[in-house]
Amino acid sequence: MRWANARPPLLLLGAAAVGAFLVLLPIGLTILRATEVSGGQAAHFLLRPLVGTLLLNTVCLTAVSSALAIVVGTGAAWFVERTRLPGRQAWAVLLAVPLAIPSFITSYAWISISPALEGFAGAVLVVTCAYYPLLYLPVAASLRNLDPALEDSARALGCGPVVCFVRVVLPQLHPALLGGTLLVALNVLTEFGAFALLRFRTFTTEIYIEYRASFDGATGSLLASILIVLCLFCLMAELRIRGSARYGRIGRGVRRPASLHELGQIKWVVVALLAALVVVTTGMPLITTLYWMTQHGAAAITPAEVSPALLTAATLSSLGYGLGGTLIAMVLAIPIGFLATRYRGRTVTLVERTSYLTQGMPGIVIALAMVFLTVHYLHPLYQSSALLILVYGIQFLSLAVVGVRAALAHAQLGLEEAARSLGLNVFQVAYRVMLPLAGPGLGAAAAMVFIAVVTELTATLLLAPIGTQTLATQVWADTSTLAFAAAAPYAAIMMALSLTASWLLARQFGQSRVGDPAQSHQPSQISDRTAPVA
Amino acid sequence: MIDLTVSNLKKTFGNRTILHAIDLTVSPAHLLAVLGPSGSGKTTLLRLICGFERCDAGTIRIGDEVVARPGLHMAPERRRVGYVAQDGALFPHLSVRENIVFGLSRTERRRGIRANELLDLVGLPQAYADRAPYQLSGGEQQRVALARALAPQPQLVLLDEPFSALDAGLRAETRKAILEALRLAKATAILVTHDQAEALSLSDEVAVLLDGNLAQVATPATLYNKPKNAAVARFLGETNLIPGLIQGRSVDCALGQLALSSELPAGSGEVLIRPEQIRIDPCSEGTSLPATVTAIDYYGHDASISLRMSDLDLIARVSGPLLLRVGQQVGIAIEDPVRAFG
Amino acid sequence: MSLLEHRWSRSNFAGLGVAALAACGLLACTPHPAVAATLVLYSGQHEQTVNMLVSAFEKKTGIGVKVHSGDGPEVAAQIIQEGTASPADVFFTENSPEIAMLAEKGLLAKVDPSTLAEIPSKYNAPDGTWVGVLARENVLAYNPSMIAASALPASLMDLAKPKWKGKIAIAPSDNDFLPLVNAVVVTHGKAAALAWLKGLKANAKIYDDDEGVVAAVNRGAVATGIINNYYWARLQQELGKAKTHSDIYHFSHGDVGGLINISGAGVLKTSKDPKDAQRFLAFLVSAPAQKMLADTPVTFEYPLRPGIAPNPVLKPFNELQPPAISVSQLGDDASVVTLLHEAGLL
Repeated sequence: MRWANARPPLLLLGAAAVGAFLVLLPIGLTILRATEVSGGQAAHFLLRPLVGTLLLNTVCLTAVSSALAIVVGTGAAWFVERTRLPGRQAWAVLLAVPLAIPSFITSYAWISISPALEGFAGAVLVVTCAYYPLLYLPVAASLRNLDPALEDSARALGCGPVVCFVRVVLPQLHPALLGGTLLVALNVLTEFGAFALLRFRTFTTEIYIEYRASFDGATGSLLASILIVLCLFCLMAELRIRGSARYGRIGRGVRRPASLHELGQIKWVVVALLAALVVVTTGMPLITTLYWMTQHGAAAITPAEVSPALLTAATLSSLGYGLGGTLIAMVLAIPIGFLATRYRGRTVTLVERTSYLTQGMPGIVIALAMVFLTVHYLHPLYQSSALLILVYGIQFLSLAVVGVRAALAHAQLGLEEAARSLGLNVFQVAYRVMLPLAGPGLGAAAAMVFIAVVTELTATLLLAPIGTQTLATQVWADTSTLAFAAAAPYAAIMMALSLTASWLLARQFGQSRVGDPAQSHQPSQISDRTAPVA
Repeated sequence: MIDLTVSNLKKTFGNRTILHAIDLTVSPAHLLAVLGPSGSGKTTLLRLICGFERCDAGTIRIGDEVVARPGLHMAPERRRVGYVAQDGALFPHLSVRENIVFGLSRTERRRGIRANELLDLVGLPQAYADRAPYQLSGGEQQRVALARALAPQPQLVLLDEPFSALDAGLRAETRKAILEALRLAKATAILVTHDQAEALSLSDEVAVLLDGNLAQVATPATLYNKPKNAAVARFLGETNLIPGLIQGRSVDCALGQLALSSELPAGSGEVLIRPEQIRIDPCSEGTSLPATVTAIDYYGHDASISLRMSDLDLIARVSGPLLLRVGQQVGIAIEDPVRAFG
Repeated sequence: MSLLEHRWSRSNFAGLGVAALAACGLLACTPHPAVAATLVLYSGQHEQTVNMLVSAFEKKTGIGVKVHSGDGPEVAAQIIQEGTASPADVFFTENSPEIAMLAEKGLLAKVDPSTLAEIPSKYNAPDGTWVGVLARENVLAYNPSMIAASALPASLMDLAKPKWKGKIAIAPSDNDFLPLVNAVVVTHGKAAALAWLKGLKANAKIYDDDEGVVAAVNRGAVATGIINNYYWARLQQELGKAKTHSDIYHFSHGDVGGLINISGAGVLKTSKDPKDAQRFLAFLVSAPAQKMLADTPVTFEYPLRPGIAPNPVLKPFNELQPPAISVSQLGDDASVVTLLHEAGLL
């Protein structure tokens, strides 16, 4: 419910506008810097064969890994949602776990067992392993929301199971499939660490190379501008699909739960396939990391030999930055979420939409823009912890806003008004009504941002103050010098943090996705939208 | 069109028996209503006939073909039955026309002539053909769903509570249209419903399903006037069931000695008095029995009057303008003959 | 859901508050090492080498050092961008061109003459703005199972010939590649260098960095690869002799391929603590530090201080036959990136 006509208080609008401004700042700076390059130079730079290669790499990778993810994700979703598979609940959880594993750790796991995985093949493998849940989750949700009467009707009209799937089920999955594919594309575009470790060249890695060659050269901004355009295109397309999708049923009335297909003899084949999938996507990073922990790390190639002191320092600074970044993101997101759930109007929409842009903004672009800004104009912030935390806040603002919005939607205006009529003042309402109702959602949002920050690599790499090491930068430093054994403890701690946080999150806030058919159509708080775009 | 025979059909889910040994026959071009409260197993019966569920025992025969018996389960797509789901289940990604021709072969679909014919049949304008399902009202969606089910010229049409999701005004209109379309198509049909009025007014025959058992299968008039037992009578409409002593062609009860519509063996039993069989005389005099009006539910065309007579609560139905008020003393008389159950 | 919501209410928020406070606490205490930091070192050298040197220096002098690591050209560019506000006191890098660039821009102070005197003058900046610390040699790594040693080219320039198509790996985006291209420009001229690069572009498999090149050669993905010598030594150290399936080939007779890169260090003019910065430079060229660099299996570079024997894995320094290019001839490599763009390698 909203106050349709009321104007939002200026203070609230101002607070929300801070977040929007911070989002637009790096985009503006990047484009401004790109325009410094003269037209001829820019044309020369952009018409290099390399830019074509990067485009081709990105497109091919997106196409191949999306196709694989569609097959894997849809197949898995169908078996989990629509068949009498042994242990459906467990599979539903296990299949979503890869989202909690940072993709550069997946990358590290594969590249450390075989350097042959460098390049395209490895990139396809890592992207598919890391991002297939972006298809699995929305497809599973669509299958759950699909009225089984549609399939019954099609069967009665003479369609066999396969034809029925193709003519009725698949078209209903279109929005989920297309949306998921665009999310994979967005991740491919914005991912840096995983590809850098795989020595696979994409826009982000090339921007990093430009950065390394000239610190903050305008040519890097030129590439970054192209990347921003590509990302925003994907983001808009994705938002559009979500907006126009007619996921819901047309009719009213009570829906019966879908009847589950019997698998019969092939039951164990399917179980074996799913187990293989879990082993490849989740088991591999875990097993490889554990393996390397038992290996002796040669001093020759590790920048700093692993010591308990170093591990503790890196863990503490990761945690510190994680909490700090979460705090900033939530502080920026809460006014936006409040504005979006309670008020209407062009300004409100504009502010909210702007915050979603960060989902399509590669960390490297934000980081580079902020380096430029601070080194030239805000020198006291340059190389400070505050700047890094601020960048985390910007980077994960959309994640936080999505969560905050969902949380505040629980605390409806009507309840607030009822409480006010019972004699509570604004603060009492906040404490006794809003907090208990929106609290779990806000906590979930904070937890998701925390996971994203702790596993963030790119901005940390570029902005960490001199002398600061986090788990992510340590994994990076060791892996890029091929010191896999030395990287293992840091990778293990990072995965443990992320998995524990995700597990607590799921246990505390998640609802069982399968099992209880009466609940199964309720949107889960942990939606597919919350995948960290690192 | 063709007939349907179901014999000794059984279905259990887990350790709950949903259907116990059902025997049922539908004659060609007849509409049979399966009437039962929710949970009685009527939808399961329908899903078994469609082939969406497997039966545990018994046989289902459509025309001359056995579609289910122990060891045989013909897939739903091969049974040539038309199915209309509770809310129509129109494919949201297809237009009205595409929905209607969905079940036709590819070449037939391309010609697309049948869509107009079927829209006519269900009484919808042809301009609707290119609309999306969500642009239609609930009733119109149901008509399209029927058109879609009829398009492949099925042997049998099965309707699963097709009007339950519609509001009252739309329901009457949609019922009429659908009934008309079924008659024109000369379709053999089964309508599953929990609405007595719907079952009685629409169908040629009604099968009452209570707790997984067929309580009675009969024409609407027979069913209403000669229910087989008290449970059927109670389910079929407002009733007054009072204990009585049966003596051959009459029964003794709190309302006096009443004539029975058919002879019964002597013994104690229950007397069924329909609300419309109670006549109310505003002045409590003469032969009538004294009673007090305790409540009046006024519906316009008629009214339902709650009465109390010593320790007995009765419901009567009176039509037209009637000057009664709550608390008023009235006289009542019973129009026999009545039915009783031993 | 409602039960859950009530369970999760205000006490959890108190928890969140505590966590936020903890965050501030963690941030306040973590980034600073135990020693009071005074010097800021901007380094383009390998982190492990620098870490080793820094901890030895801290132990010896009690002066704390904060390190900012990156690639040489990146860090040099960063110092230029930061200008007078740069927090850097010392710049220590892998290859001379990037430090020469800082010298050209007038950002470096003169190095103490006593420090310069420790190193043969041909490895120092002619104007005394930086001191040479280590040297590394450009070599060709090769996989003996794919190509015979006798079939290897006499000159680096040969690798642009069509017969090397698909048999050579390079890492044009690695900053170690830039000085080599610069050397080709110096010895053969710009036009020849561009032609050579175009030939390489046609022939070569492209890798991101020298680590990638040497690993590819070792596993047999490609027959040969242009690298700095110590990458191979480090690979061998990590894998062990048994898993090393590659060897290195030294360009000789003064061929440009045998170029020696000088890793140097200098003090920024803007340093807030020039005295300690000079002490750090003096330490880098001191006998104990140079010996440590030679003896620890970490860097595999040649110590430049006379009389210190390099790691035995390396070919003795005096047996190398590098081209006669001085550090001042090599200069900075500003024009090289343009050449690489033109050749389509970047």
